[in-house]
Amino acid sequence: MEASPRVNGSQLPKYIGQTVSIVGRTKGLGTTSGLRSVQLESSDKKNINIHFQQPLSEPLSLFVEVIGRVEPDLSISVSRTSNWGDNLDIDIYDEIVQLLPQYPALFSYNT
Amino acid sequence: MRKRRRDTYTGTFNISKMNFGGGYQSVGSSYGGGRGYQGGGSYDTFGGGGYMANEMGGGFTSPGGTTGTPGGKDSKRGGFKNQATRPVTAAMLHRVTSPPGAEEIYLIDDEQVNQIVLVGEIVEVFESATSVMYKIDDRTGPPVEVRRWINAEEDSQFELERRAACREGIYVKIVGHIKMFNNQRTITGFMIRPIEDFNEVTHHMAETMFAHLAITKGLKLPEQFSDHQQGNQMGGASSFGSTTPQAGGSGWTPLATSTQMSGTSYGNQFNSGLTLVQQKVLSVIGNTKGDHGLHVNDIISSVKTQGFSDASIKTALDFLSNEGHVYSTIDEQHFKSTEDV
Repeated sequence: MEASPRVNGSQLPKYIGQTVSIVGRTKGLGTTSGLRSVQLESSDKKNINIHFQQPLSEPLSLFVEVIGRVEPDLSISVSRTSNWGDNLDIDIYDEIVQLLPQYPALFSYNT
Repeated sequence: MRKRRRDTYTGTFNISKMNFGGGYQSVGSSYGGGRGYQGGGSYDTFGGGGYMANEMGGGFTSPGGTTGTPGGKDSKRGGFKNQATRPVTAAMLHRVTSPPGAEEIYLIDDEQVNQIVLVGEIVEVFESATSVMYKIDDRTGPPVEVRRWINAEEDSQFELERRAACREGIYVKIVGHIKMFNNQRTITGFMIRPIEDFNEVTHHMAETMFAHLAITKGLKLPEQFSDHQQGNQMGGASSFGSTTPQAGGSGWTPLATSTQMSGTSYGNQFNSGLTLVQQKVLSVIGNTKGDHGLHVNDIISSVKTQGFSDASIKTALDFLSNEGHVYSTIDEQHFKSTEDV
């Protein structure tokens, strides 16, 4: 397994075809089980379309981490999600995410 | 089986005793005989040292395999310095190096590291009779393996519940040691708990950068942080400027930034981000010699005399436990320090 770098919405174009981790706020009330796609507002307030290969089996929390492949249209094909609860300082998360590329030795290792 | 379990708690806690206190000199065969050191590979990981210590009444402490080398050439093994708890990522653990001929010494940023703290998602769990092996993915590289020794007969209810909560898909915070096991570096975790507040994930990344910068570049802190007391009260770090996460909310730790931080002293400074009450609690626990550590009631009655409320002492204890400064022993009421005493 390779790294799946933590990115925000603006960084997505650099990662087309790669697997990334993106954390954001789920939009609207449509995040219940059974859905195949939802919208995510990324940590830098971009709207990202998120497509599931299987319908969701359990509800998403307000904040979620999505692991998936970046498609050419900048949507995400999800391989898995992690519920991050309803209490996250998303702005600080975004500031930290913007710093990560400056420290590849700390945050990026590919075999 | 009993032998193995002890190592879960033991490892390097008592480096100071080894190097300075002479507390284990009486263990003679265990130390001089090379169990602690020679056994630095798999033998040690199976708890040879820990067992000896236990038989000597050392309980949760251990000469361990990662303690000082008798007359060794590794001058970098400076005793207290080894106790630094370094915030790390999987990417950093994959890049750990060892000096030639000293594969039981682990270097990150050319700095010796034994105790680490890692935050990530459990992606696989393998449980056997004596240990649980977790694969931890923090998105920075291939998952790292963390081994937690268990003992089905002796582990407390608290321990069992916490272990049950650590399953696939759960984010956890781990405090552990880098060790040799079957000639491979692995992490032996002695504190693994689920993350409830995901700001901890953000915080861990910030702290990882902070520690790296402190070690590789040194830190010149603003004037107001140079005063120890004030630094402790301030808590939050200034070094990230406007991006600094502010302390607030449970489990959200202030970065340690109080006093003159330089490359080599980073680890020693780690506790300096503690508040006064946290320091008092840690000091009371650290001064306790018994096998099982100190009961929470004793901690409260001791620290209370210094003018702190029960609630603030309990909060401080929770904080220290969550951050890996102390750990529960026979049950969730008894605590020992992971620091030098």
